[in-house]
Amino acid sequence: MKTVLYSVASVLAACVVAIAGYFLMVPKSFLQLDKAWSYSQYTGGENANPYIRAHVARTGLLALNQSEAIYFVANFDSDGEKLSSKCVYKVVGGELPAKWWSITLYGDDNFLVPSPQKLYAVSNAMQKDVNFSIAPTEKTGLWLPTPSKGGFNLLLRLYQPSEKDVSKLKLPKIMKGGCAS
Amino acid sequence: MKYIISTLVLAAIMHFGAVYSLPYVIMTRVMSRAPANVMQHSLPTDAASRAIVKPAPDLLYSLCSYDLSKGDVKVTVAPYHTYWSVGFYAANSDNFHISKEVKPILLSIDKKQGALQSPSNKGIVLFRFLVQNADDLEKAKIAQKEVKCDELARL
Repeated sequence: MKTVLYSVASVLAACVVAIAGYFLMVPKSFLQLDKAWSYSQYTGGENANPYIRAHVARTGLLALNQSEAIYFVANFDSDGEKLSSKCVYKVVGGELPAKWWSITLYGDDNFLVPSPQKLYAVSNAMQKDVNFSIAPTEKTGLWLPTPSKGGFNLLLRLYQPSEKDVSKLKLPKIMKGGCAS
Repeated sequence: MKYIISTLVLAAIMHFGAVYSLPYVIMTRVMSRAPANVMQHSLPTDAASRAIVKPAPDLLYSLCSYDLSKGDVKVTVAPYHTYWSVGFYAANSDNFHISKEVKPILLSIDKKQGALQSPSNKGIVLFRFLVQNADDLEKAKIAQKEVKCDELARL
């Protein structure tokens, strides 16, 4: 009986360690460009390490490699705080150097957030410089709705970027306004 | 002590096994949703689009799950007036090729002249058409009807 208990505990502990190892290693494979945006030059590419490949398969399957598109993900605002559906944000930045760009808001499940007006993303078809709000309720001007609960993330896509040196890119700031209690 | 060592060994096996197999498992799940070597066309992306994570709302997609085990596959490309691309993905999810030329592409598991060699028998071909207004949408739907994915008999 004791042996069975030890074996079960051993398998459960192994599961916890294996999963914890994954979540420990994945962030190390991505470059945190500032407090908000992270990226990997290997996203979608054949040179991706197993952690990048697994993470992209889970959270952004069928990404293009960097010869065509660069993807930046923000799970945090520009002060390094987790993006929350209860808060209002202003996303502001200059023109982005790409044939076309878009910033899309996804829920924690990495799918689009239901919105009666189908407000899912902001792109260069809507504005030259980046300037829009994210909020739980309607805002004046260009805005994207947050999910009803939990967190969310932003994905910035640069298709056919004219500048591939990400250190030269000025990514938009994500500034938090107020939060509902 | 032997339980600690066996736990750590088991954790390492599970960890690396999961990390390496996850992309294959996810790709297999996506590929199994449609018959092989047939182009599937998506509707405009919205919150109900839940086939693949992080869909782009300003793209219209056409997807073909290819299987080269019975022969090569011919991918027919259509002209489109604004941004479009066709990405080729191996069974491990790697994007091994991107084309933006309006000419047919022969996809093969073998290395042969004039063909694009796939690293795996199975994978996905994904067309992206940029849709930023109603006119784009109409033209993208026409382009969707023209793109194809046809299995060729092995000679």
